Amino acid sequence: MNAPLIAADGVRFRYGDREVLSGVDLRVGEGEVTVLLGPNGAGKSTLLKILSGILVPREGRVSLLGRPPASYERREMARLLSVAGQDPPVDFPMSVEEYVMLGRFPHHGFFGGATDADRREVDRALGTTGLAALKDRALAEISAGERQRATVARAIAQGARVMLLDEPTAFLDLYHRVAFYEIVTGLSETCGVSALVASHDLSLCAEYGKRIVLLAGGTIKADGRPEAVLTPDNIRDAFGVTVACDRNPATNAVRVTPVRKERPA
Amino acid sequence: MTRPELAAAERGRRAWAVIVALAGALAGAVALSVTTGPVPVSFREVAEAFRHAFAAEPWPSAAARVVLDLRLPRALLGALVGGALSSSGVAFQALLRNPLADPYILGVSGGAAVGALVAVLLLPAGASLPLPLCAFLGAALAAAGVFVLARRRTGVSRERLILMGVIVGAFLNALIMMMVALSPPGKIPGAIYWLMGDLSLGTLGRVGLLVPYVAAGTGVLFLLSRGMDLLLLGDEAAFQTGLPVERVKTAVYLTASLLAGSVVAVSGLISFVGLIVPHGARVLVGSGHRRLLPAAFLLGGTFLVAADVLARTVSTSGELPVGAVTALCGAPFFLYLLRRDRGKP
Amino acid sequence: MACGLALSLSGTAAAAAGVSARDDRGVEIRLAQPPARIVSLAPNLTEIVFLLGRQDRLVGVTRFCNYPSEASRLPKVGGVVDPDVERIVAARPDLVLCTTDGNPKERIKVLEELGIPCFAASPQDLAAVFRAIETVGALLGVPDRGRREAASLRARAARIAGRADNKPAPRVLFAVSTSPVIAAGKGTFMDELIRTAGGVNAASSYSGRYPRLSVEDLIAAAPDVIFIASMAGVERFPPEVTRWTEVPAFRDGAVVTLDGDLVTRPGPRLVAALEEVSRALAGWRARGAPGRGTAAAGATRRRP
Repeated sequence: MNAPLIAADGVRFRYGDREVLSGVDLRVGEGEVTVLLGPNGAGKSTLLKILSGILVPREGRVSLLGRPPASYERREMARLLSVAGQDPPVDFPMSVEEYVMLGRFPHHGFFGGATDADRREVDRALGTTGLAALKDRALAEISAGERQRATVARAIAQGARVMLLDEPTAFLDLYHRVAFYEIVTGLSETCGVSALVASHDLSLCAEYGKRIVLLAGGTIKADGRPEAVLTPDNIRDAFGVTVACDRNPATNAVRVTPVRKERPA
Repeated sequence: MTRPELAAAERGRRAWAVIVALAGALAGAVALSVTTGPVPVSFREVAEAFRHAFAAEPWPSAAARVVLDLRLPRALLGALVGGALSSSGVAFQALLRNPLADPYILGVSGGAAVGALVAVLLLPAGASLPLPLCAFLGAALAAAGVFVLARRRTGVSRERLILMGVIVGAFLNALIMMMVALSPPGKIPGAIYWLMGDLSLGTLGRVGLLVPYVAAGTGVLFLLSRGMDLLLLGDEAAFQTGLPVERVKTAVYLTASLLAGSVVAVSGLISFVGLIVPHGARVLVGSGHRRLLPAAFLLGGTFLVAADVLARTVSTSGELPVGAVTALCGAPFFLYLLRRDRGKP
Repeated sequence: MACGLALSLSGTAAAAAGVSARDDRGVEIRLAQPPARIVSLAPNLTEIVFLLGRQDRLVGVTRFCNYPSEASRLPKVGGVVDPDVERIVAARPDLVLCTTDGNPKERIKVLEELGIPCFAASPQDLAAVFRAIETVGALLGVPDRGRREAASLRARAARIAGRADNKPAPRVLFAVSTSPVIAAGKGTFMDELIRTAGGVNAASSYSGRYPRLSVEDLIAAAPDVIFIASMAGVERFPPEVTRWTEVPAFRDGAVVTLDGDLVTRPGPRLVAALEEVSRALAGWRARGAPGRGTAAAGATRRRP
């Protein structure tokens, strides 16, 4: 059996005195779309940064295709793993297409020009994220939701084997949140890409996720299909909220709904 | 070619057409500068002078000497300085991800000014060669100092760069004020005019000395264009897209600082060019640094040479400092340019 | 605003006559007797006090007051643009001599409000300098001395003006800075010196008083003689300027350095400066007034 795309073993990390990750074990394989679920402050973003090589864990090992991130040359790593995170805004005039084209850097490097292959990938990424009509518009002119999709498009255009997406729907309205999840879950079908999506959006994860990894209290509390992971006990332990779990009659996916503490008389 | 390739190629062609037009504008500005001045020189005499120069004959007439030995170096210096400052401005704006950055923001101007003032005050009047050297050393030391102070184990963040730049800059400004206050009255005008920028110190020799620095600096920046494109995304995103971020940031910082320092050493502090020309160039050719750098260089050179012509001709009480002209004329012009194209990629 | 305060002097035997004069602001200064304690806020005014023989009454001068040498040993009360009000008041003067060309109005006002009479003398040309000597002489109680000195200076100046007629008029440039080149234009003392000595100010085509000239401007101005008003830091032109022999003054080596204090102070030594300028121009004429030409006219010939 080949080495998994991403493997983390016993990863610990602390910011100053605060230990955020206390021993995380995780495997992400080929062609999977995994949701990393957890409340705010659970360490999802931290874990993603450790997996992509930006942060170095205190203890534990991370390996990508069997090798630690540091052993990869930068561009080689970027062809393996791409990230759509919460980037700072770009204060300079740039079109959506130019922005997405930046994701092709690992393929042509400092001196290569933008080839036809690059342009095709960019167009595909724009199409997948529903931005084809906006490609000549300036980044500053489109809405926040569209900009978020552009970040995802850039990560798609990078053409890596696995994508890490970090809570990109935090401030978006329902339409854009749904659109995002549609894109992400379709990725493995349309692009053969694996994805690890960090989120705290319980209801959408329940509807769209195929594999859910629950991160809380610094460790992975549960890992598996939504039915197994999204139980009232797990959610109460992780989120501190009482919920009821049943099935969505329209789609048969797990449905999580919060339960009010007291019912009025 | 299918549609997307067509559109991209079209945009590419348009941008290169703009760049060629800018090169023409620069040549025109240099020609204007060479034919303008208080000593009456006819076009025929200008042509004669160049003909003699190319034929390597000695220059017979005083007019030829004025054109080739005074006006030409001045125009060439203006082109080099304007181009270098604009390129450096582009680089700093990418490095700091801030449209308000200019080449002087991280210590270069303060360091160069302190170096130059030390030379002005300690040198006997009449010896002016070491002044550019002192200014350059001052700029280099200040830029290196800011970089070292801003550095941490994880690398250099733009917040720390700006913070250290402000602190070092404030300290150097205090030094400058003290030196001007304590300098003998006879040396003050020289110091002040240098601080406002002065292209009249150009000679063909100095221009020749500057060319390799400017060529090397702009060349390195051009090679780093893709890197600068990616820096605009933010350090983490750039890293994850495969850029060796810390190495690129260091290279951009050092190259842009030395580029600015070397031209400031010869021409004094001409402000505004490095701040606004990059924006104007972006409006003309977009933010991709491969096209932006040549466009900014040519636009900056044209702008400065034209401003210098204006500085020499517009006032009846002698020359105006060129830095004042660039600010006064540049601001409204670029405002117009930006309003016209607001938001267009 | 007239200050009519009487200031008592300790231990003076005879009561001197009251003195009064109108200063350059139109203010009338009236004193019960000539002042025994004087503060001067400008170097030219200090020189005038010495000329009138009243230096023993000076109790405060600026740090730039350096002529004659005894002046530099007097107690200092600050500079010209920054006189120290506290020190001035501590010196308990009966009279402050000030100028509107440099002393800050606000500080003079403070002194006047504290009851210290301030007399402003701001001569703008030679004739005004002579008048100032007479007026200050009267104010200081030595009107005859004042008139005598003024007359002597007038005569010297008139002699030079007389000698300057019917001669070829050289183009003259006065440089107050050599790097950059800043020339004295119309309306400066140096301009008056040039004209009185029979020359033409080569910088008179510029509208400002102190135009900055590039090398090319210098060539176009084509001065035959250049004077450098030398002070600390301004002594000679840099070699890349002097190598331009299209400028007649550089070609002929006709660059004369004068003490900057001589030509920028509207005081008694302005006449000495005039005499030096005149001497230099006479020397130029004696060398045969080497033919002038602008750069555009090409090379020029030397007349034997």
